[in-house]
Amino acid sequence: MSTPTESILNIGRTDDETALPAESFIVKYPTVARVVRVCFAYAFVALAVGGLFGVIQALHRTNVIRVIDSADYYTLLTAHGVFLAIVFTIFFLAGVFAWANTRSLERPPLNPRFTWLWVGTMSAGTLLSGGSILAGLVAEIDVSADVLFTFYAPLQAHPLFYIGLALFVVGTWLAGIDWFRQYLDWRADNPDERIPLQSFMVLTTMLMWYLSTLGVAIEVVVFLIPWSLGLMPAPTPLLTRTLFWFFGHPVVYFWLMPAYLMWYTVLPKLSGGRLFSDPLARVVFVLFLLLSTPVGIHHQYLDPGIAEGFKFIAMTNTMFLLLPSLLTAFTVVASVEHGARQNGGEGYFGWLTALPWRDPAFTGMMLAGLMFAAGGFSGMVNAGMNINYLVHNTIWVPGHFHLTVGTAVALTFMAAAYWLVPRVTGRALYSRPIGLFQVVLWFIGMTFMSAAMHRGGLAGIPRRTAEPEYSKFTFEAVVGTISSLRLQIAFGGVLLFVSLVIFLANIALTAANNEPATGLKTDLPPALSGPEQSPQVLDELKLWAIIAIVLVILAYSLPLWSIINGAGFYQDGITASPQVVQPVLEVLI
Amino acid sequence: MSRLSPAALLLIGAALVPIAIEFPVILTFVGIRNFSFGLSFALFGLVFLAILVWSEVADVIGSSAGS
Ligand code: HEM
Ligand SMILES: [Cu+2]
Repeated sequence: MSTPTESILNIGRTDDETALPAESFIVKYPTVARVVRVCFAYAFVALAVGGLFGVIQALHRTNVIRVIDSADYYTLLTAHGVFLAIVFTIFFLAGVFAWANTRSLERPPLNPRFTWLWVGTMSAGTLLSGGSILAGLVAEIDVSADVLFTFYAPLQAHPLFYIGLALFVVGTWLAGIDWFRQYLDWRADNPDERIPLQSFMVLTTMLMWYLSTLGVAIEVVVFLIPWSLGLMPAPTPLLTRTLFWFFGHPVVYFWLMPAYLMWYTVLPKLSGGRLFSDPLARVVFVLFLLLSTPVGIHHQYLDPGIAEGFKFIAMTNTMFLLLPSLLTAFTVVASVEHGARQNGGEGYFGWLTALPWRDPAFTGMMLAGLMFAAGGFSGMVNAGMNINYLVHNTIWVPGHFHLTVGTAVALTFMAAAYWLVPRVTGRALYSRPIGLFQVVLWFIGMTFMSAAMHRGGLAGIPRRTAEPEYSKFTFEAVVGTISSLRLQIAFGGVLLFVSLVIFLANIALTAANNEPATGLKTDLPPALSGPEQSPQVLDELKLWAIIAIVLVILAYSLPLWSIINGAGFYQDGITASPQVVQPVLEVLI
Repeated sequence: MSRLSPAALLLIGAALVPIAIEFPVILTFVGIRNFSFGLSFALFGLVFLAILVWSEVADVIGSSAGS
């Protein structure tokens, strides 16, 4: 008998290895397949814990069932945010990127030890941060981190939480280095070729990630860790908020771009066709690299201490950022329609019936895309400087991002898992009909929960509170009653949780399935309009990185300068010398 | 046989959910306020039932018979 961990790590060993074709990913790159499996295992454990807390929260704040004390609400909310929005998403995308970079460059990473190094660093970070959040539930342990996934001052967590976060981010940096080294190795062999599309997407995303994580690295390493260790005074909230959101907006594209990678490169194949345009896909990823970061201030429209003009610039950049998403909607739908017509679909809308709706991977991604459109609309409301005042900090905002990260990303990842897990384990998906039911159930649950959250937000119900009912005050819904909205949130949350449990069970049964996966031979088809039709300049990664840096300097240098001049680094005019150094300085001077 | 497959019924049912949720809002634009969500769900539940019955008795185009 193998131990549980061994069996997780060995899920690629089917009894009948020879049943897998020689050109399948798992046979060609067994080590990378194993890395992907480990990343997915972390992602799914985080999904399970985070999802459980999600339904507890939804039932608690709607007063339907209360299993926790309201005093523990923030511990759960922090765990929900960190486990789902940081651990689940980033571990899963690390697996997707490792797979995509390897298959499109047709070579494994140069040094498997280095690959395991980043997996290990991310794991250690996750265990430290996650552990210190969960320790908040145990009264006997004097560690807690109830600072929510937007960890800025004045809320303070245990140092282990911040150290874990720093390790986790360093792990992602190392992963990026691994993928760039893989690319440079390929470049040495192919000096004149265009970067393969999937690799191009991985590299542009990682460039964006390096740029944007600078903000959070400075926040955590320079301010939060020394403060939580008691070495330095509390930093100005506005400064840490600004540094956090410098990273906090681009991180949403870090979640989204792997979902786009699947929509651009896998979805067309699932629909029986080919990607409509390779050049458009490249343009989209370049635009995200350029525009993701200089917009973070749109999360701070209500922060005093940042001039309106800077907020206006952030708003303008944000509206430009809609463009690549609209381009994506066009390209993806065009590719899918092309696939449908290949399968004999006809008419203006009749082609829709010629699509593989029974395939959970296809239907899941399509439903995710549909909900993303709705999320885009509510996002435009968030992004408008003036109407943001209406919805700021209300439950409208969770309504919005459960459509984007909670569905466009999470449902795409689940759908992608139905397609990818057989490819990295060599085992057949346990049940396609159950998978189909699961993705549709997620869609239904999210329709209930998210629509009701949006409406509750318009009525003024706040987010992030265990007790949204105030005495001597009643919220008024635009349509229907507040109690019916509450029930819809609770009901939707329960459906989502059931969907999640079904997903995890289906994946676990797949990992234990002794039937070999089929259909592993086919590769992803080339685009209709291929890379030879896209301008060479799109592949100039250095150029785009430099422009991205310049845009960030333009958008952030003046606001940061004025924050530092106005509020200072530390509160109450405290000077910036370390407290431990202060006595020494006094003796010396 | 002329039935919608379970998969088709699942997708049609799912498509009705957002419509049922938005229906009371759409009605406000024509001046009908306070059409409750419960009523809307009941209504679209009936619609779904009607589709189910219809799929049993009619010759549905694109039915998945035999697949
Ligand atoms: C089982 C499914 C889920 C349920 C029932 C659920 C429920 C909730 C609820 C009710 C809140 C608002 C709590 C409040 O503001 O008081 C919330 C917040 C949040 N959810 Fe979910 N959620 C689910 C899945 C997800 C997924 C898949 C993601 C992302 C991948 C996600 C990310 C978040 C984030 C980032 C927050 C904000 C936390 C904060 O305000 O600090 N959720 N969730
Ligand atoms: Cu943002």
